[in-house]
Amino acid sequence: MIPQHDKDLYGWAMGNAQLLKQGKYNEADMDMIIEELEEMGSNKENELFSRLALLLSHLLKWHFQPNFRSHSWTNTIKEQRFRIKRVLKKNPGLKGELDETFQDSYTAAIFRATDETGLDEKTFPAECPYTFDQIMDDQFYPQ
Amino acid sequence: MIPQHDKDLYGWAVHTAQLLKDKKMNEVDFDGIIEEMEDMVSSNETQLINRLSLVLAHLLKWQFQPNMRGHSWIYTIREQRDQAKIHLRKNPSLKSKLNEILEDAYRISISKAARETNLSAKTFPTECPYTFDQIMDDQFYPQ
Repeated sequence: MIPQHDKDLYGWAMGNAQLLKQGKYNEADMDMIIEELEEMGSNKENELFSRLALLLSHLLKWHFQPNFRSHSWTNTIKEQRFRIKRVLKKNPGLKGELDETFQDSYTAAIFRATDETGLDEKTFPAECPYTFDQIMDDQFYPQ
Repeated sequence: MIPQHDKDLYGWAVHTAQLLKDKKMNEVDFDGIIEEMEDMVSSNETQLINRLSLVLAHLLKWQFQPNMRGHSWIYTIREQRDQAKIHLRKNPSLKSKLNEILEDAYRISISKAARETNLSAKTFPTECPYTFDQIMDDQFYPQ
Protein backbone atom coordinates (compact mmCIF):
# COMPACT_ATOMS: atom_id res chain seq x y z
CA MET A 1 0.00 0.00 0.00
CA ILE A 2 1.57 3.27 -1.11
CA PRO A 3 1.29 6.16 1.36
CA GLN A 4 -0.79 9.21 0.44
CA HIS A 5 0.92 12.29 -0.96
CA ASP A 6 -0.19 14.55 1.90
CA LYS A 7 0.56 12.01 4.63
CA ASP A 8 4.00 10.82 3.60
CA LEU A 9 5.64 12.55 0.65
CA TYR A 10 8.78 10.46 0.81
CA GLY A 11 6.91 7.15 0.80
CA TRP A 12 4.58 8.42 -1.90
CA ALA A 13 7.44 9.41 -4.23
CA MET A 14 9.32 6.18 -3.66
CA GLY A 15 6.26 3.97 -4.13
CA ASN A 16 5.06 5.71 -7.26
CA ALA A 17 8.51 5.80 -8.84
CA GLN A 18 8.58 2.04 -8.31
CA LEU A 19 5.17 1.56 -9.95
CA LEU A 20 6.22 3.64 -12.97
CA LYS A 21 9.43 1.65 -13.32
CA GLN A 22 7.35 -1.51 -13.45
CA GLY A 23 5.13 0.08 -16.08
CA LYS A 24 2.09 -0.11 -13.79
CA TYR A 25 0.76 3.24 -14.96
CA ASN A 26 -2.82 2.43 -14.01
CA GLU A 27 -1.91 1.95 -10.40
CA ALA A 28 0.18 5.10 -10.06
CA ASP A 29 -1.29 8.22 -8.47
CA MET A 30 -1.47 10.24 -11.71
CA ASP A 31 -3.47 13.12 -10.21
CA MET A 32 -0.76 13.94 -7.73
CA ILE A 33 2.00 13.31 -10.27
CA ILE A 34 0.32 15.92 -12.48
CA GLU A 35 0.14 18.28 -9.52
CA GLU A 36 3.84 17.79 -8.78
CA LEU A 37 4.74 18.49 -12.42
CA GLU A 38 2.62 21.62 -12.46
CA GLU A 39 4.22 22.77 -9.26
CA MET A 40 7.67 22.28 -10.81
CA GLY A 41 6.57 24.50 -13.66
CA SER A 42 5.21 27.23 -11.44
CA ASN A 43 8.25 27.11 -9.16
CA LYS A 44 10.43 27.92 -12.15
CA GLU A 45 8.11 30.76 -13.16
CA ASN A 46 8.20 32.11 -9.63
CA GLU A 47 11.96 31.93 -9.53
CA LEU A 48 12.23 33.94 -12.73
CA PHE A 49 9.63 36.41 -11.49
CA SER A 50 11.28 37.07 -8.13
CA ARG A 51 14.77 37.37 -9.56
CA LEU A 52 13.56 39.84 -12.20
CA ALA A 53 11.73 41.85 -9.53
CA LEU A 54 14.85 41.96 -7.37
CA LEU A 55 17.03 43.03 -10.31
CA LEU A 56 14.55 45.67 -11.49
CA SER A 57 14.08 47.13 -8.01
CA HIS A 58 17.83 47.60 -7.73
CA LEU A 59 18.04 49.20 -11.17
CA LEU A 60 15.25 51.58 -10.11
CA LYS A 61 17.07 52.43 -6.90
CA TRP A 62 20.30 52.95 -8.85
CA HIS A 63 18.49 55.23 -11.28
CA PHE A 64 16.34 57.24 -8.89
CA GLN A 65 18.33 57.30 -5.66
CA PRO A 66 21.87 57.76 -7.02
CA ASN A 67 23.34 59.11 -3.79
CA PHE A 68 22.81 55.70 -2.13
CA ARG A 69 24.62 53.64 -4.77
CA SER A 70 26.82 51.00 -3.21
CA HIS A 71 28.80 47.83 -3.80
CA SER A 72 26.02 45.83 -2.25
CA TRP A 73 23.65 47.07 -4.98
CA THR A 74 26.08 46.27 -7.79
CA ASN A 75 26.62 42.84 -6.29
CA THR A 76 22.90 42.14 -6.18
CA ILE A 77 22.52 43.34 -9.77
CA LYS A 78 25.41 41.17 -10.99
CA GLU A 79 24.27 38.09 -9.11
CA GLN A 80 20.65 38.31 -10.23
CA ARG A 81 21.68 38.83 -13.87
CA PHE A 82 23.78 35.71 -13.65
CA ARG A 83 21.02 33.68 -12.00
CA ILE A 84 18.35 34.83 -14.44
CA LYS A 85 20.55 33.84 -17.37
CA ARG A 86 21.09 30.48 -15.76
CA VAL A 87 17.44 29.74 -15.10
CA LEU A 88 16.59 30.74 -18.69
CA LYS A 89 19.37 28.55 -20.06
CA LYS A 90 18.09 25.54 -18.14
CA ASN A 91 14.45 26.32 -18.88
CA PRO A 92 14.25 27.93 -22.32
CA GLY A 93 10.49 27.26 -22.32
CA LEU A 94 10.17 30.12 -19.81
CA LYS A 95 10.94 32.55 -22.65
CA GLY A 96 7.43 31.95 -23.94
CA GLU A 97 6.09 33.70 -20.82
CA LEU A 98 8.79 36.33 -20.67
CA ASP A 99 6.74 39.39 -21.70
CA GLU A 100 4.11 38.76 -19.07
CA THR A 101 6.61 37.85 -16.34
CA PHE A 102 8.64 40.95 -17.15
CA GLN A 103 5.58 43.24 -16.83
CA ASP A 104 4.48 41.66 -13.56
CA SER A 105 7.92 41.74 -12.06
CA TYR A 106 8.24 45.45 -12.89
CA THR A 107 5.07 46.15 -10.89
CA ALA A 108 6.51 44.17 -7.97
CA ALA A 109 9.82 46.05 -8.36
CA ILE A 110 8.06 49.41 -7.96
CA PHE A 111 6.55 48.29 -4.63
CA ARG A 112 9.90 47.02 -3.45
CA ALA A 113 11.81 50.13 -4.54
CA THR A 114 9.20 52.40 -2.94
CA ASP A 115 9.48 50.49 0.30
CA GLU A 116 13.27 50.46 0.34
CA THR A 117 13.94 54.05 -0.72
CA GLY A 118 11.10 55.82 1.06
CA LEU A 119 10.51 57.68 -2.24
CA ASP A 120 6.98 58.23 -3.50
CA GLU A 121 5.66 55.48 -5.76
CA LYS A 122 5.06 58.11 -8.47
CA THR A 123 8.82 58.74 -8.67
CA PHE A 124 9.07 55.56 -10.73
CA PRO A 125 7.70 55.31 -14.29
CA ALA A 126 4.46 53.33 -14.52
CA GLU A 127 5.83 51.39 -17.49
CA CYS A 128 9.22 49.74 -17.33
CA PRO A 129 11.75 52.21 -18.77
CA TYR A 130 14.25 49.47 -19.64
CA THR A 131 14.13 46.71 -22.22
CA PHE A 132 14.82 43.12 -21.30
CA ASP A 133 18.10 43.22 -23.24
CA GLN A 134 19.17 46.29 -21.30
CA ILE A 135 18.47 44.84 -17.88
CA MET A 136 20.42 41.70 -18.78
CA ASP A 137 23.39 43.68 -20.13
CA ASP A 138 26.26 43.56 -17.60
CA GLN A 139 27.32 47.08 -18.58
CA PHE A 140 23.89 48.62 -18.09
CA TYR A 141 23.47 50.88 -15.04
CA PRO A 142 20.75 53.47 -15.75
CA GLN A 143 21.77 57.10 -15.17
CA MET B 1 7.45 18.30 -30.07
CA ILE B 2 7.87 18.00 -26.30
CA PRO B 3 10.88 19.73 -24.75
CA GLN B 4 13.47 17.34 -23.37
CA HIS B 5 13.77 16.81 -19.64
CA ASP B 6 17.46 17.74 -19.53
CA LYS B 7 17.20 20.62 -22.02
CA ASP B 8 14.17 22.50 -20.74
CA LEU B 9 12.86 21.42 -17.37
CA TYR B 10 10.07 23.98 -17.30
CA GLY B 11 8.78 23.16 -20.78
CA TRP B 12 9.08 19.46 -20.09
CA ALA B 13 7.10 19.64 -16.83
CA VAL B 14 4.30 21.76 -18.30
CA HIS B 15 3.94 19.58 -21.40
CA THR B 16 4.20 16.30 -19.54
CA ALA B 17 1.48 17.37 -17.08
CA GLN B 18 -0.76 18.23 -20.03
CA LEU B 19 -0.14 14.88 -21.74
CA LEU B 20 -1.05 13.05 -18.54
CA LYS B 21 -4.22 15.11 -18.20
CA ASP B 22 -5.15 14.29 -21.78
CA LYS B 23 -4.35 10.63 -21.05
CA LYS B 24 -1.92 10.47 -24.00
CA MET B 25 0.11 7.86 -22.15
CA ASN B 26 2.07 6.74 -25.20
CA GLU B 27 3.61 10.18 -25.57
CA VAL B 28 4.58 10.62 -21.92
CA ASP B 29 8.26 10.60 -20.92
CA PHE B 30 7.92 8.25 -17.94
CA ASP B 31 11.70 7.94 -17.55
CA GLY B 32 11.86 11.67 -16.92
CA ILE B 33 9.06 11.43 -14.36
CA ILE B 34 10.79 8.55 -12.59
CA GLU B 35 13.98 10.60 -12.48
CA GLU B 36 12.12 13.53 -10.96
CA MET B 37 10.48 11.35 -8.35
CA GLU B 38 13.79 9.77 -7.42
CA ASP B 39 15.18 13.28 -7.09
CA MET B 40 12.34 14.07 -4.69
CA VAL B 41 13.25 11.00 -2.70
CA SER B 42 16.92 11.82 -2.43
CA SER B 43 16.46 15.52 -1.72
CA ASN B 44 14.03 14.53 0.98
CA GLU B 45 16.75 12.36 2.54
CA THR B 46 19.34 15.10 2.11
CA GLN B 47 17.14 17.57 3.95
CA LEU B 48 16.98 15.34 6.99
CA ILE B 49 20.72 14.58 6.78
CA ASN B 50 21.47 18.30 6.75
CA ARG B 51 19.30 19.04 9.78
CA LEU B 52 20.63 16.12 11.79
CA SER B 53 24.22 16.96 10.91
CA LEU B 54 23.68 20.48 12.25
CA VAL B 55 22.24 19.14 15.51
CA LEU B 56 25.08 16.62 15.77
CA ALA B 57 27.82 19.14 15.03
CA HIS B 58 26.49 21.34 17.80
CA LEU B 59 26.16 18.45 20.24
CA LEU B 60 29.78 17.54 19.51
CA LYS B 61 30.88 21.12 20.06
CA TRP B 62 28.84 21.20 23.27
CA GLN B 63 30.50 18.06 24.55
CA PHE B 64 34.07 18.60 23.34
CA GLN B 65 34.43 22.36 23.59
CA PRO B 66 32.42 23.11 26.74
CA ASN B 67 34.08 26.46 27.42
CA MET B 68 32.53 27.93 24.27
CA ARG B 69 28.92 26.90 25.04
CA GLY B 70 26.52 29.69 24.25
CA HIS B 71 22.93 30.65 23.60
CA SER B 72 23.42 30.57 19.86
CA TRP B 73 24.34 26.87 20.01
CA ILE B 74 21.23 26.10 22.04
CA TYR B 75 19.04 27.95 19.55
CA THR B 76 20.54 26.07 16.62
CA ILE B 77 20.07 22.72 18.37
CA ARG B 78 16.47 23.50 19.29
CA GLU B 79 15.53 24.82 15.88
CA GLN B 80 17.09 21.94 13.96
CA ARG B 81 15.54 19.39 16.31
CA ASP B 82 12.13 20.91 15.69
CA GLN B 83 12.69 21.04 11.93
CA ALA B 84 13.84 17.42 11.86
CA LYS B 85 10.75 16.36 13.83
CA ILE B 86 8.46 18.23 11.45
CA HIS B 87 10.23 16.71 8.47
CA LEU B 88 9.81 13.20 9.86
CA ARG B 89 6.16 13.85 10.63
CA LYS B 90 5.57 14.82 7.00
CA ASN B 91 7.61 11.90 5.68
CA PRO B 92 7.15 9.04 8.13
CA SER B 93 8.58 6.44 5.71
CA LEU B 94 11.98 8.12 6.08
CA LYS B 95 12.23 6.31 9.41
CA SER B 96 13.03 3.13 7.49
CA LYS B 97 16.30 4.78 6.32
CA LEU B 98 17.16 6.29 9.64
CA ASN B 99 20.33 4.26 10.38
CA GLU B 100 21.87 5.11 7.05
CA ILE B 101 20.83 8.76 7.33
CA LEU B 102 22.24 9.04 10.81
CA GLU B 103 25.56 7.56 9.71
CA ASP B 104 25.89 10.09 6.89
CA ALA B 105 24.80 12.94 9.13
CA TYR B 106 27.35 12.02 11.75
CA ARG B 107 30.18 11.85 9.24
CA ILE B 108 29.31 15.33 7.98
CA SER B 109 28.95 16.66 11.50
CA ILE B 110 32.51 15.68 12.39
CA SER B 111 33.93 17.87 9.63
CA LYS B 112 31.59 20.70 10.56
CA ALA B 113 32.51 20.50 14.24
CA ALA B 114 36.22 20.29 13.48
CA ARG B 115 36.06 23.32 11.22
CA GLU B 116 34.06 25.37 13.70
CA THR B 117 36.14 24.51 16.76
CA ASN B 118 39.64 24.20 15.30
CA LEU B 119 39.83 20.87 17.13
CA SER B 120 41.21 17.93 15.15
CA ALA B 121 38.58 15.67 13.62
CA LYS B 122 40.21 12.88 15.61
CA THR B 123 38.94 14.50 18.81
CA PHE B 124 35.51 13.14 17.99
CA PRO B 125 34.43 9.49 18.21
CA THR B 126 34.41 7.69 14.85
CA GLU B 127 30.97 6.23 15.58
CA CYS B 128 28.08 8.43 16.63
CA PRO B 129 28.13 8.43 20.45
CA TYR B 130 24.43 9.38 20.75
CA THR B 131 21.29 7.41 20.01
CA PHE B 132 18.63 8.85 17.73
CA ASP B 133 16.31 9.35 20.70
CA GLN B 134 18.98 11.33 22.51
CA ILE B 135 19.69 13.47 19.48
CA MET B 136 16.03 14.40 19.24
CA ASP B 137 15.45 14.79 23.00
CA ASP B 138 15.01 18.47 23.90
CA GLN B 139 16.59 17.88 27.31
CA PHE B 140 19.69 16.13 26.00
CA TYR B 141 22.95 18.11 26.11
CA PRO B 142 25.93 15.74 26.38
CA GLN B 143 28.42 16.47 29.19
